[in-house]
Amino acid sequence: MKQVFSILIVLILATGIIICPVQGSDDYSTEARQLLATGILDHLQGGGPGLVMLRDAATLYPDYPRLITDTAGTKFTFYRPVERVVVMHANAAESIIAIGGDDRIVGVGSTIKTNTLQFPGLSRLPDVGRWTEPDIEAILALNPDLILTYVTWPEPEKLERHLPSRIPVIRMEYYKVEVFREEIEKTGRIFSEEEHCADYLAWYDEYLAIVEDRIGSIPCEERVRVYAESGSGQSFGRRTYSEGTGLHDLLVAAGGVNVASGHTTGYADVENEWVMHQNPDVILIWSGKAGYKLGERNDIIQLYEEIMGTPGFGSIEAVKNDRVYIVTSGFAFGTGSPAALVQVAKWLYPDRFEEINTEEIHAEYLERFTRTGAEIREQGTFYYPDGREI
Amino acid sequence: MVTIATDTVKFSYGSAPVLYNVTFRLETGAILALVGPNGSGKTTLIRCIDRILHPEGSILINEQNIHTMSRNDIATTIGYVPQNGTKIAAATVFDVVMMGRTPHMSWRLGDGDIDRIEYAIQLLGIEDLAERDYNELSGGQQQKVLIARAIAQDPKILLLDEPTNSLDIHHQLEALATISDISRSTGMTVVMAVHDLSIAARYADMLMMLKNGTIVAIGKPEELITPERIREVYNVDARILYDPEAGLIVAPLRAVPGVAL
Amino acid sequence: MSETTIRSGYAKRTHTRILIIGGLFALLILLTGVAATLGSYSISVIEVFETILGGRGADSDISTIVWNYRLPRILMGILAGAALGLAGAMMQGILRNPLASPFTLGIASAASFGASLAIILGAGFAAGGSLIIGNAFLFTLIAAAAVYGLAQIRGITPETMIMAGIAIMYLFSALTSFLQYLGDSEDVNAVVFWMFGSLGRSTWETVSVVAILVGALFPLFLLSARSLNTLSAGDEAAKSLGVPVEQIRIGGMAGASLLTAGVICFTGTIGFIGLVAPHITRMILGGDHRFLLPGTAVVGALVLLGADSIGRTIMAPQILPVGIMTAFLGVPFFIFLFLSRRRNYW
Repeated sequence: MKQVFSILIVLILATGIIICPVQGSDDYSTEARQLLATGILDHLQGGGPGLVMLRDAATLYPDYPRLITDTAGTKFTFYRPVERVVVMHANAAESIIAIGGDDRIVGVGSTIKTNTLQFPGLSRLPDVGRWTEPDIEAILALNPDLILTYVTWPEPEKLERHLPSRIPVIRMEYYKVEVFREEIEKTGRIFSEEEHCADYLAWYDEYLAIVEDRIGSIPCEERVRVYAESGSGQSFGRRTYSEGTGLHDLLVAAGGVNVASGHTTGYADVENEWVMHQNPDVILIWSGKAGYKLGERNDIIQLYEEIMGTPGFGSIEAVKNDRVYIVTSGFAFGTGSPAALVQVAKWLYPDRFEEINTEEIHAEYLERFTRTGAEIREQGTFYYPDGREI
Repeated sequence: MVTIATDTVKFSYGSAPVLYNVTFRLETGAILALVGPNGSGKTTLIRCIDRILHPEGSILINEQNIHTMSRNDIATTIGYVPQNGTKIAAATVFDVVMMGRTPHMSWRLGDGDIDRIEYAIQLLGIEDLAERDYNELSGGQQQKVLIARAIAQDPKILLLDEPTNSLDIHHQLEALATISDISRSTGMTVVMAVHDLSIAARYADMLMMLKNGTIVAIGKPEELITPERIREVYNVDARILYDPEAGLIVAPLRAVPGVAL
Repeated sequence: MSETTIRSGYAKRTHTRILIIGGLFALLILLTGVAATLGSYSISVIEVFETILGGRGADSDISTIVWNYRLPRILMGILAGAALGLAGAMMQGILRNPLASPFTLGIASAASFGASLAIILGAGFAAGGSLIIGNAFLFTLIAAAAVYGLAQIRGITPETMIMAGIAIMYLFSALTSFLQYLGDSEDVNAVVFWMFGSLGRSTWETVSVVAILVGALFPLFLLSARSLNTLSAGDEAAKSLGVPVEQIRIGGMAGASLLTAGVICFTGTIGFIGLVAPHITRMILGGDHRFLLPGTAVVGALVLLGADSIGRTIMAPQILPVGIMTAFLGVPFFIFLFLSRRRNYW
């Protein structure tokens, strides 16, 4: 009896789908139809998402179901827009804000929670633990319909294993250049924020295009040679970033040549004399300090002064010509990275970017795509030298 | 000639008393044997005299209280041969005998030190072992090395704890003859704890008999060793024999039943 | 064996040992010379020695590289290796335990904790260079004092000291893990790097501090060599032979702790030398501390400088942490000696 009943309902639903296009404009995409059909068939076989989901997708959300494949390669079918999202890491939070989906976030990882200046709104939400150590009970208490986390952290052993299968765990990085744009598009679809997403990507593409346009034609032998490092000279010594690191990708995208390319990969400890031997035109330092944290400007200036004051570095072109630059992680990676790309490109080829005001680009980014307040715009140190006194 | 005098020496390990009121005075250049059953306090008394243990009461060596002496002064006065059994890391027999020179030598091993080491090694007849690793020797050989070390130390008083414990009868006789020769020729006072009453009687000039941490009797062997006293101290019926060469021989016959040790 | 052969045997052995130490020392000088010419900046052997002898302008790049980077690094390698070797030999001697080293007694893990505390909770690593050094040193002394205090309750014997040391070691290891758990990944990376050990931070200032420590403590260690020899026969035998056992043990512990603290607060934890350099030396020279101590100092210096020189060149320009290289280099050598020796060396 029950089976007959459910077949009946399914038939009614199916009729709805078939009838709809006849009634009005064709809101239902081919993909959505196929997915819904698959969902119905699954349901008939005793699986599937359940009747409520199928009905919602069929009657309330013409764009649904949607299929999303995350960066880890897992496929998820969404039958309706997400409403209760738990975000484990700051890179994801920043991206969701940029496409305007942050009003659906209900719980955040500790790094977001403590970053009150970058995430004034989100930092008031319940804490769901560290990005390596999620607090499963806190997550379950929020009854989320989506969890966003890094591809490798926390390990599925610590997260998915303890969650019911109805809660999808989408794993995306939001800081790696090679997948960043794709991930933003997917996020737009997950949150049903295609318009905002398109706005952001237009801004993103514009500056990538400007840089590519102006540096693309520079022949290899004329490109600026850059030494990229971690700024740890005072603590554990010179550590250079080479292929496979975000800083390397940034400087290459900006038209530079990494002096460590072909010598090392990832990050590697090197000697001062090797840097002297390479004699780079520009030294680019990455720092985890400052950015959205105020009061750390001096740490950034110290990195600059450490390089300038290292014995023997006076004969390096970069030091001689005062071309030592620092970018912070809040600037160089993630949604704000186009501003950093233009900035680095301008440092490398000042004459090609003469009329471009990089400060304005970053200010525009902060204004349009973040929820940060005036104090960040006025006092935040995102790169150095940034033209500000002290 | 040295004097060893103790006055009401008491010692206990934790709450278990081992020595009660041990008082004696010896003016001697001779061999004193400490005899008595297990647990009578022989080893403890020897260790007290070398200030390895710190008993109540006073112990005087040549009228000087050992508590007022420096470790080095004691070491130049008293040599101590413990029962063997300690492993010694990476040391040859020569190295171990050289340790005997610790209280005398400066940082460098002087000619006088080497003379004394050679003398000690030859005295014990262990020249062939000099370059061998101490840990590889048999128990008997190790015992000889430890005696040689004490000889190299050149003390006025030599304390020996069961010196013939792990030696066969041949080596027992050799070692004891050596000790007795040294004592006779140099006037060195020897105090040794011995289990075997016949051996004690043969080599010692004086015996001190201990039981339950007190002195039962002090005297010459032939006066001290009687069947009555052996029964009193050891709870053993024994017969005392006499051999013209071996001297006094204690032949234990049977244990007296019903008496706990 | 006659009278003369005992005497001449000793003389011969002494002579051989002095020759071996001399040979090792010559090897160290040779290695120093080689190490001074290794590096990414191509400087010829002649140029290096001209620079050292003052034959080149003081402000040239070559002069800066040789004087500011290579020489402090090499000298730190020598001094740190010697100091850690000495500390290990002293610990093994006073505790009569072949596994004793500054690490067994929790001294190194205390230093790691001090450094982690500075890196993770302190001013961070950018501003915290001196804070890391100070904290590592301070906690090393705290650990040594704690080991001493705990052991003293039951009497200062090798057993009580090792038990107390192991307890302290686990306590500080757990505390360090806890800090790493709390810290963010950047700081944790810095802690991990610190725990690998590195000679890259050496300057003339740090070199001179270690030099003063080694210079002051080495003679004292040598003076105690005779007592350490006798101590190997056991506490009672040593006492009876005139050795002030407890003073030597406390003094040795304090000296070894100071040496270790003075080195690893600058270099990070370089663990293996303190354990293995004394063993290698003992296998070559025997157990007489009068030769073992200077020998260990030279062997420790050789192993550390050799490991660092290989670590600097094998994957150049990348430098491998010297703590790791020490183990890679020292373990096979140690196993080889260990298997090829017939004699009980311990």
